[in-house]
Amino acid sequence: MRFIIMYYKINTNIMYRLYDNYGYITDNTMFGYRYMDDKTIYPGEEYVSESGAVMLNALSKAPKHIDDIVKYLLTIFVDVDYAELKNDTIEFFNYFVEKGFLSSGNTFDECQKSIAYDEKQMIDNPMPILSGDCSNTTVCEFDYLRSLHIEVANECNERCIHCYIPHEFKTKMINPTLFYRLVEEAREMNMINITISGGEPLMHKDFIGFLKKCRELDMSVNVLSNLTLLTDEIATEMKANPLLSVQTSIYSMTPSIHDSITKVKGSFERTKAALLKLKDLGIPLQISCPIMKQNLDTFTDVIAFGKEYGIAVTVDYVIFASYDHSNCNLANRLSLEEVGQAFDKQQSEQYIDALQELAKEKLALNGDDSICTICQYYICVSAEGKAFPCIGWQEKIVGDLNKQSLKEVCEHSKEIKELKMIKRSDFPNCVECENRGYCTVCMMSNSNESKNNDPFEINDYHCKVAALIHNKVNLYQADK
Amino acid sequence: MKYTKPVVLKPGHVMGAKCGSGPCGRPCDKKAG
Repeated sequence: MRFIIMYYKINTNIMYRLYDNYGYITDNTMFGYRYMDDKTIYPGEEYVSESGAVMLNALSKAPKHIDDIVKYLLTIFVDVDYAELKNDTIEFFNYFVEKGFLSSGNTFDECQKSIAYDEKQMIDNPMPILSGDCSNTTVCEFDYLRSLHIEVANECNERCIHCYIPHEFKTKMINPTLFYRLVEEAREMNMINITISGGEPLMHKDFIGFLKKCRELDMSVNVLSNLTLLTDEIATEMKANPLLSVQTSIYSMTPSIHDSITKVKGSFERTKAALLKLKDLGIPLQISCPIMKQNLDTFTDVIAFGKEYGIAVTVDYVIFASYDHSNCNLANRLSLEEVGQAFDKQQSEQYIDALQELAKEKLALNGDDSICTICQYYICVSAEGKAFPCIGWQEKIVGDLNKQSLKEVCEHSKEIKELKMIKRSDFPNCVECENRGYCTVCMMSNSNESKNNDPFEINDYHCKVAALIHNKVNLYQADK
Repeated sequence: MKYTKPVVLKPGHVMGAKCGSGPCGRPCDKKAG
């Protein structure tokens, strides 16, 4: 017997946004992190036509009765009768229930308590009850900005030797009024994700208030923190938002090595303890582990630690220069020979496969493609309220949010318009380079290393790293 | 508003590195593999 579904709701870790002529629904793993041992089939993201967008927009995270939904929709659609609209709406919603974006129930309580999609076996590819696009709507992944990165405090309680923020600049905290205004404006612009970083964001006295505001606005949140200042109150608020993830840096599992990088004795133990506390709470985590001379011999222990706890670890062979052009932090950068050693320590079939997959995507790019998605996918704000294309590129000011709205900056900044125009063909030596599959051209990195702030000036070191990794991948395949 | 049957749309794929796929381990919120 088939039950008649009466109530629908949006699942807790799903976000929905209504744009001008289409809708976008996504699960939070598209913006946050997930545990490595999490076998859940997440629904991912979907775009829907204008009518579908209006239907999904009638839903909320609390159950709503289908008749109330259809009555509301009838105030918007003028040329459809009740029965047809109800039938279409149910059919449309059921597709998203099967995908795992929505929950349904015969009663309010049943819908409210409906098993979250991450606890039941989802249907990966439900029947394509919807086909074709008679609306002829063209949608693009980056029609709208998705993410706002706010550096809430560039003050920090650590003094990491590789940090891209010059230590003498670490004196500012964001004005809370500005933070709240920006997050509200981002939500009005249908952004999805707020990344909160520092410096050390937990040093800001209003940090919990910031998290609460993001939760109230149904924003996905990524917190980048060393976690040494984590309190029970902060952890509780983090847990309260099912759309919140945390990234922290661990450089080595040898405390003295980690502490020699942060320049703070005891920092390793505090970060590790806080990380495991958040793990116990089930908060999605990621560890960042840039490789430097100091942790070259021990960074693989961090990867092993991550595996033990199911926490993904990102490693980078190349640290980028601080934005004062002093290049003082690059004394800790690996030499080419050391990059080779670091690569060899990680080498495995799985790792090589992942690199080759990424290389395929990069090789498919051509001269007309964007060099990167700055100002298309996200935009950054410093603790002083200046807008930047990328958080490491703070000399490239694209607006002043103390004087301008976020929308005004994003839509009218001359600098943003220029940045969006930059294509791969503007880097003629890179566009056909045989090692381009193992390289990412980064204007922020170029500019910071350049004495002339020139984002098009590439340090030959990066070319040599790409060639080295490409060669090592080829050698591995030849030996197989 | 004129009513049309609701449908799922296929987005155009944007070619190009996404923020976070660069050499920026710390500031970007990139996903680990």
